[in-house]
Amino acid sequence: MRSYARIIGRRLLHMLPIVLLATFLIFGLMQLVPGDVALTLAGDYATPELVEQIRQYYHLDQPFVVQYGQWLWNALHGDLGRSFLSQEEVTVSIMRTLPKTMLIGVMSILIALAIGMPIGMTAALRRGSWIDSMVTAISSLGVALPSFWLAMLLASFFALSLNWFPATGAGEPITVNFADAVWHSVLPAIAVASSSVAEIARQVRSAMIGIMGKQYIRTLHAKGLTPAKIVWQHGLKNMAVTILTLIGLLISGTLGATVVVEAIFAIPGIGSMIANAAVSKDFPIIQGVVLVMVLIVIGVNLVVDLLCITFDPRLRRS
Amino acid sequence: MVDKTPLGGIFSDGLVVNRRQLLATGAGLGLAGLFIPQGVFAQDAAKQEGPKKGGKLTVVFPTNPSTLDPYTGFTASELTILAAVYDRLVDVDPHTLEARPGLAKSWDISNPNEIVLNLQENVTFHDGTPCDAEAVKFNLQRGKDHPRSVVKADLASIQNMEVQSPTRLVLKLSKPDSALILMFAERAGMISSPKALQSLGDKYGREAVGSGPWKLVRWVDNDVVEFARNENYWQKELPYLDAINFRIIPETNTALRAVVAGEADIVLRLAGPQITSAQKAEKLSVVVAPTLGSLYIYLNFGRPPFDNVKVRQALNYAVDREVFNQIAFNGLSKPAWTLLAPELWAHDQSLTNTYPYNPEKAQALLKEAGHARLKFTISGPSDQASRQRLEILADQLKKAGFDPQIQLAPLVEASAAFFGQKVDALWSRWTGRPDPSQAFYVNFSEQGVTNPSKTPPPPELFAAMEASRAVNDKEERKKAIAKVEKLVNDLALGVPIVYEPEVDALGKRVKGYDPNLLGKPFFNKTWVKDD
Repeated sequence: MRSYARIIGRRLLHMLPIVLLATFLIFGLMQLVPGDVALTLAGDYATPELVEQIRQYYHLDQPFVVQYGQWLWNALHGDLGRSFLSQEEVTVSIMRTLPKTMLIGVMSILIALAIGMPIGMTAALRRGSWIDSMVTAISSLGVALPSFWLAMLLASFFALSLNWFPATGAGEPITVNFADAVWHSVLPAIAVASSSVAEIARQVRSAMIGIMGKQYIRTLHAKGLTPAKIVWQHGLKNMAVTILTLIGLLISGTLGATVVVEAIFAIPGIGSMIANAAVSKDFPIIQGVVLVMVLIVIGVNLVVDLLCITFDPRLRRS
Repeated sequence: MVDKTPLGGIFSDGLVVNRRQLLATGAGLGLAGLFIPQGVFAQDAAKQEGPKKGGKLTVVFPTNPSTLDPYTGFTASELTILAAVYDRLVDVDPHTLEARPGLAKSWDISNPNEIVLNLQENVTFHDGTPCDAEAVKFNLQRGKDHPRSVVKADLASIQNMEVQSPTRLVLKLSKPDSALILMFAERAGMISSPKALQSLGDKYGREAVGSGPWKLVRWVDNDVVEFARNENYWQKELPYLDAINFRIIPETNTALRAVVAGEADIVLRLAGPQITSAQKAEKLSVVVAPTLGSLYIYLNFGRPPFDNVKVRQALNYAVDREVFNQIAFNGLSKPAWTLLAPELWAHDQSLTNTYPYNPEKAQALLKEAGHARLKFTISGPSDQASRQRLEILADQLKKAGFDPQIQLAPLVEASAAFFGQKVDALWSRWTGRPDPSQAFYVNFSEQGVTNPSKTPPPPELFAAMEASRAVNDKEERKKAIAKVEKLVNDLALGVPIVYEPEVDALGKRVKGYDPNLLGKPFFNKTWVKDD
């Protein structure tokens, strides 16, 4: 139990500088990107005086460090501010968009695991066979296949031609109508999952091959265990750490992958929100989303680490 | 000038649908094989099949509204959304942009230094408060005072206001300003409930309380803006639709898919490749309609090299507008010669083909101006369509003795580079303004936004511009504006390239859709027919 507490404590301590550094870096980077949100806000036919007034109104005329300090101070008090562009509260925006993206992310990982695990294991167990070659080929294809292209293909076939799924939109919020939200997320989730499937299949294949070559597996064979029992009970258990680590990485990666897919399916998720905000330099939104993303990634890593030491007690010592 | 909707469009001169005819046929026209029987007018169609009340219309819109407060918003195209919830003081004829009664039933401009607005009676805002002269005064004053107001310049000539009765408001002007009436046909004329403005303060804009045909139900950022019928609307027979929703979809291909899938009814402002797809889709009709907008090269005419009229004229002769039209728009566009669209009531139709393509003449003019070849800097938007089009132009200019140095950036940055005098020219679009005189004020007056060096216009032009705002009689105004248009054309203060129509795709159930010259369609007379 002590090791769990130590890991959590250490992670929380690490979290603070990471959050500070990430938000500071993003804020700084946005300053370097050419562009001025005040120009956008001033609208058509704006006079320089109006642009200047708007700059003052939003404190954009203050030094960068002062602006960042102000944001941080407010954030520490639970106030992430309002979007420059739409005036909506950032926390409200995030609460609305994040569940949509999370749903796609979670569904895509489930799909990826459901497909990637079996084919990866089959390839490992039939190493060198035609199945193995095919899985390797499909994996390379999946990684190479751009998700936006697959997304468009899925939309035009399954939504427009067959009319099985909606072509655009996220449907009702997940809390209002779960089935509707899931139904709207199927195609986007498949599009996002394509590269994850390949990743999982490849990793599972090599992990499985590694495990099956271990001496204890030979011992199990010698003990007379059925191959199925060896794979499912002993092989899989030893692969848990690999798979968990992989899932952790995939969750972080999926958050990025949804940006493009959300645009194609017109899903008002957090990906399209940050893409819009980045283009128009809507600082409060960008900072808020970065903060939440960092927290999610740290949180996921923490959970993965805790699960890993549960499955593999050897890790507790390190 | 700065418009966030994507550049682009393929359209045909010959295929441009007259809106009246469009109304007549209930917009059920495909672009391909478009045939419009002459002499069919809206009235005839109305006899066959009148508008029906009820139903919901879903419009796909490319950008999230900047705000629903008309006085602080910054995206030109969002006027379409605002018009659902707000009435404007002055309406316009969609085809010629002539002023029509709106919230103001009539106006008296007989005294050039004041405008008397006679307002409609018994109009109430969605919150039940009266939309009277006091309310209008409150709004206009706010437009002049609010720190983030984008209509300050529009309302600058109003010195003070006097409420003479609940339906009579007198605007005292600092100088004659006949353009003001048509300013009231856009943002500046959109009237919000003073009660809502006061109680909501800075939050106004997330909420919107007007007197328009629909009430705001909810605005979900980057997703949807929903409106429901205003049961107490003062124009008793309107609107036809029970509800109108604007779905925000920035990706044009996705937007089109939404309409093809029947998840939305109208997609606005299609760009090139999507038009072909829309034409192929059986379930859709493609509507092509002219707008005030044009693709345009802005020049910093206050400093070398473009302070020399010969250089500017050379640049105008150097552009082969027809070839540009062929390459950039598959020949479906129209060469432009002035800032005023040909459909505009004030446009001088004789100003056509004023600078026919002539690279030799361009080079000769450059020589006269003392340049063997002329290098200049030009900024432009970095989106794909704009970039490709600028490349076509650059190629033409090179053949006529110019060496354009291109700098690409996002639209606002490209514009800022020009306004900040970091470049000599700007490749962008002119989106047009409701009053024709504004076109010249915005671009060529000393305070003009797109006059980066704030160079005073030549005295003759300045006098003509002032004269165009000092007369009120329509025919006289037309003459006065034509004079300005001709002068600007002779002085070649910019380079108009092609007029840019609007291309929309509609589902078959949409009827009575009538786009306007502003390029910002309104839906108060649109209805739907479900089989």
